[in-house]
Amino acid sequence: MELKLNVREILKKYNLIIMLVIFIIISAALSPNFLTFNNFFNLLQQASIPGIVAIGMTLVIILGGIDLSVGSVLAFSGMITSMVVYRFTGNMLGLIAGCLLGIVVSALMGMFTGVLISRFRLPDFIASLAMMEIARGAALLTTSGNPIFGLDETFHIPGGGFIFDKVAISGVIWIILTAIAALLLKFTVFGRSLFAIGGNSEAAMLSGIKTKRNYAITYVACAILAGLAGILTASWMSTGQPTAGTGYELDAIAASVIGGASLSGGAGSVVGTFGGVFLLQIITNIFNLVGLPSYYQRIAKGLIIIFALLLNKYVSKERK
Amino acid sequence: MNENILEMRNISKVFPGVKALDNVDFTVKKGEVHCLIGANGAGKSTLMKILSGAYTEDSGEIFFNEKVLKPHGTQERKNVGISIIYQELSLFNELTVAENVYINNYPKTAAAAVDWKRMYENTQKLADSLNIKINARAKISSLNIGQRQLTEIMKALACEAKLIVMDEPSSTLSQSEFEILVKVIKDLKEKGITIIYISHHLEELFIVGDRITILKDGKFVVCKGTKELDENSLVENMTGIKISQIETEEKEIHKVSDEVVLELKDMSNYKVSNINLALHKGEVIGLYGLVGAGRTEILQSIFGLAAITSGEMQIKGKKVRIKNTQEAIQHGIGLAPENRKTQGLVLMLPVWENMSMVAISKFKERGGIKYKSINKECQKYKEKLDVKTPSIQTVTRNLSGGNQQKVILAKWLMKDCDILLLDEPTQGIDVIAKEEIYKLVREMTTMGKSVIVVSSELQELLRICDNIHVIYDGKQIMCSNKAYFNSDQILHASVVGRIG
Repeated sequence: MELKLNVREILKKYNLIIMLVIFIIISAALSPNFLTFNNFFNLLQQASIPGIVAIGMTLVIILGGIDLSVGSVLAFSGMITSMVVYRFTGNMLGLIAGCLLGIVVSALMGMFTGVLISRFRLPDFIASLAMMEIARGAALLTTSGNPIFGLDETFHIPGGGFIFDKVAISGVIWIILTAIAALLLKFTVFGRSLFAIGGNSEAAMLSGIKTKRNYAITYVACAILAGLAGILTASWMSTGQPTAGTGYELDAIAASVIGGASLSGGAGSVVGTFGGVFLLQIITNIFNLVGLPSYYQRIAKGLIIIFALLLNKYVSKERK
Repeated sequence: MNENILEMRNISKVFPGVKALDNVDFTVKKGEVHCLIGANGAGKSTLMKILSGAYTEDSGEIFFNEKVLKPHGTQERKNVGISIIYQELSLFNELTVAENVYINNYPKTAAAAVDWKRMYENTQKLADSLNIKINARAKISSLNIGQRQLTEIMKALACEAKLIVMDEPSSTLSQSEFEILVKVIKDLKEKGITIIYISHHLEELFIVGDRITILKDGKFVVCKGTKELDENSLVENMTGIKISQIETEEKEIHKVSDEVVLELKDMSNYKVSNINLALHKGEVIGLYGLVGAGRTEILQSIFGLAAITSGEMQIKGKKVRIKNTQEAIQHGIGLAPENRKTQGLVLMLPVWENMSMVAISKFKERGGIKYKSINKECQKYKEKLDVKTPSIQTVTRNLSGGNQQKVILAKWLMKDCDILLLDEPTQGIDVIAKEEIYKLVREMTTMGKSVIVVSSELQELLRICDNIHVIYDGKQIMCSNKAYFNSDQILHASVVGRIG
């Protein structure tokens, strides 16, 4: 009895880590190339951009919402930045201005979605679905659907550069942002309020928490992170691609949920999401290494999500 | 042949800490309109929930049409012909009248598809037979409350109900809607259908009822024909004399300071009108009245949840306009809302997080929130209020009702607010925890805090309040000081809406 309880406790606390370890062992057995430093840094680079998107998604999910527009916001921000960077090739100031503009535009889009939900009480699913369409359309409109090739070489550094020729800068940004978000959630009044609002927004309102304002702020934060991911995507590919980020919203939701977030709100962790993104990336990675077609990947991904959720449900069975 | 359609014999039901029903007998004759009355908490709802099968009796027997009803689910009771129309109606707003009426047994065509034509025709026939003017094809959302009530009645008839229980059918009806209801009830009687009618409005009972059964504190008091009773004897039976005996035991007058911390002057909002109230430092004011009289709504305006439409509110002598909960909290007001679970707490979060939810800024230092100080403070309040929880890390959902309420009180004490609004603070809490909460309220007043308590339990208010205001139908009809508390008078006022 005692032992059984302990197993459940351990599973509950570390179930994501245990799953990661299992998958790493399986992957290592399947391919000798998996457990190498090079491959690990590869993983970090590949996971960084979806990872940054997933941080924002986790914040929104903790709040009890959902944001389907992140993939499109990513694309639009990338296009805006690329246009400015292309126009001012070789000009450092132009480069910075381009990035800032991308961020600002993303923030405005997030604000719009957030206000629609908090002030005008549109369902979060629908409001963000609408923004998903608007932002994608806007991204395509910038260049009539054409990519912008040949961006400035300096611009390639944040998304495609490496420290010591190994560690992707974007990966470092991802880790830093995860740490910042984790600290924000744990040590700020705003961060705690997200859990309260997501857990019971009426009780939060009656406790004097500014639920509407915090709702809007969180959607802005989520959009800014998506916008940043868009800039990094353009930087990494040296290309402004209006179709970038398609389907990222679903990956981000999946990663958050695998990482312990509850879609009904009030629970979640950005560190867990970090692990969730990594897990999903490992699956893609091992399928590539083994050389199986990507169709299998998607089936496997779906199964992993189900498995992770069932495990979460099993270990969190507290009710008598 | 037995003329009784329903006999409930020696029904008892115990909830943790309360004996909700104590050997209650309830007998209804075939074809009559039988009224069931009693003050809040007398056991009417529990008795009806046992009849409907929603609750199972602990002991006792139920005979319906001379057959014993075994404890089972609500669907079986419906099948034998018992239908209950609850106060909050259970209709589907986006469906038509006919669909709602036949929601449990859609008429089918030979091909097993829904027979819409027959459904509309049958509904219209049913409506005509009761002289109800209603369009079977209308959506529920387009109907007024009275028509919705009638739809519920038709729904009961479509299930071939022989006994219909109407729980407070008139509480939301206008006078003309009520008259239609009276007519429909008469028609139902002619069809041989028996009705149990529950209402707080005593004068109605004499219009619709044949006999009246009175419950008090979970016990059967009397069952008599309407003609043998009048309003005064009803109130007497509903209130009894027991309450007045208790109150004399603790009639010491508590010294209240002259300092007024909160004052309402002719305050009106969407529900109540011209409320006058002065809350002194260290005072406990009780708001008594029937459920739905407007007590909670007064608290809503004080806490910035409902706009004040006329009159004004003053805090410490200064006129204030409170627009939201943040402003109310800044003015030192705290609210323990009526529903602990859905409004008072975030159940999935741990005890400490709920306790510190309002005061959290207090623990903010340069490096962010200081968990050490939160821990210390929560531990302090856990001991001070004797919150029974394994640890402050425990998820609040796992605490008992009384301890959850203490967590809510701790939340406001931690914020150090001066004015506490408690809405039904002891609802569903066992006797021991109730005593603890009364003690806490008294302690708070000695700390110089002022309290407004809304409660449906008069005994509770008589014990802890310095002044009791009686609210009836949105109006303040009586104010009584502790020195002159008279439970009969207060109950009478709350039930009939006037003094004496």
